[in-house]
Amino acid sequence: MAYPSVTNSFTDATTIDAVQLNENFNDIVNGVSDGTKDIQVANSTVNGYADITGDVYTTALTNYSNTVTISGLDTVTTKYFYYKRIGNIVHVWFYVLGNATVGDVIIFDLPYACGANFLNMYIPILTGTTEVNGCGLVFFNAASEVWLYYRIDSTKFPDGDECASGYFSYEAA
Amino acid sequence: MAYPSYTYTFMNNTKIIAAQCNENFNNLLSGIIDGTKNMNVNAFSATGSMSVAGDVYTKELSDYYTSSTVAGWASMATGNIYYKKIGKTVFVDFYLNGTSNATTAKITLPYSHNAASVFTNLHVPIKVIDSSSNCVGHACLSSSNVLNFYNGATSGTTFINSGTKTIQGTFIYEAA
Repeated sequence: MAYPSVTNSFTDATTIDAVQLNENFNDIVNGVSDGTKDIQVANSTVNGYADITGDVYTTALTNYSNTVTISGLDTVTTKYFYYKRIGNIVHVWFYVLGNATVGDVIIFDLPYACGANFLNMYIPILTGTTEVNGCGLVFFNAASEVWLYYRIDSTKFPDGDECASGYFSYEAA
Repeated sequence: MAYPSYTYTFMNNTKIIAAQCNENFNNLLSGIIDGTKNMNVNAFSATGSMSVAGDVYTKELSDYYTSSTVAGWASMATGNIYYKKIGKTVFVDFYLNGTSNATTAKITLPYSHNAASVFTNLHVPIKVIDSSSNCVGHACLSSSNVLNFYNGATSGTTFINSGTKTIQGTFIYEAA
């Protein structure tokens, strides 16, 4: 798909064909109104609404399972970590299953550092041992990392198998 | 609101007035930058920021309850399934309160989910009232657009198949 363009180029000392000039104007009008052309700008302000048939993103749905840093587990059996960023809003979906000889919180890093307003925020998730079986918490401990608690009263995970799943949204710094 | 347009159409064998030609160009530029005109394009890319004073949507907030296949209730006193889609990200808010006729409960969602493994393994907490008992339930996706509800934090926890069954919560997912 192309950007808007004009059909005719004019040269100096040559009579301009009015029909061609009109065609150029129509090319530009059609380019911004018929839905077939791409537009790229530095910044954009829309006074009304933006209605978008396709996707809206700064970053498309991204699998960061292979780059996420997880601590608190001695072994990680299964990990699915995805995020989607729309402007500065980041949505994170996750599922993690692993094992720790000594139970503690599970810690993983965020794809983008969060704003200061999100520090110390708690969001309910589901947690368990071999599978989810209770309500735990995501805790925004630092700008770039969250802690997962086993239960909603901030109980840490027990020794052995540990599982957590859920999603949360936050504003990137 | 209209798309950008220009004022003058020129004819052959007639002198083109430069001022009119300039005005046409200004019409087009103003139409793109003065915030009063619509645009309809295939793809839009801003290397910097994009500021929208109004709404951003593929689909504005919509009530999906009558279109959803809802199972697990004999009758529904209150049935709300609202969703909002921004690009491919779908936000669903649900409140279902009625008389149970099954040990299971589920709804269909407005869009099939992205097939990424995280969505087929996703479990999120919701509020459940089963008969008169409040508890943390959970929601998870089964097939492409079916959201199952469980009466507890463990998958497979069933409901009482009579009495009041209430489910409240939100679910955010990525459409295919």
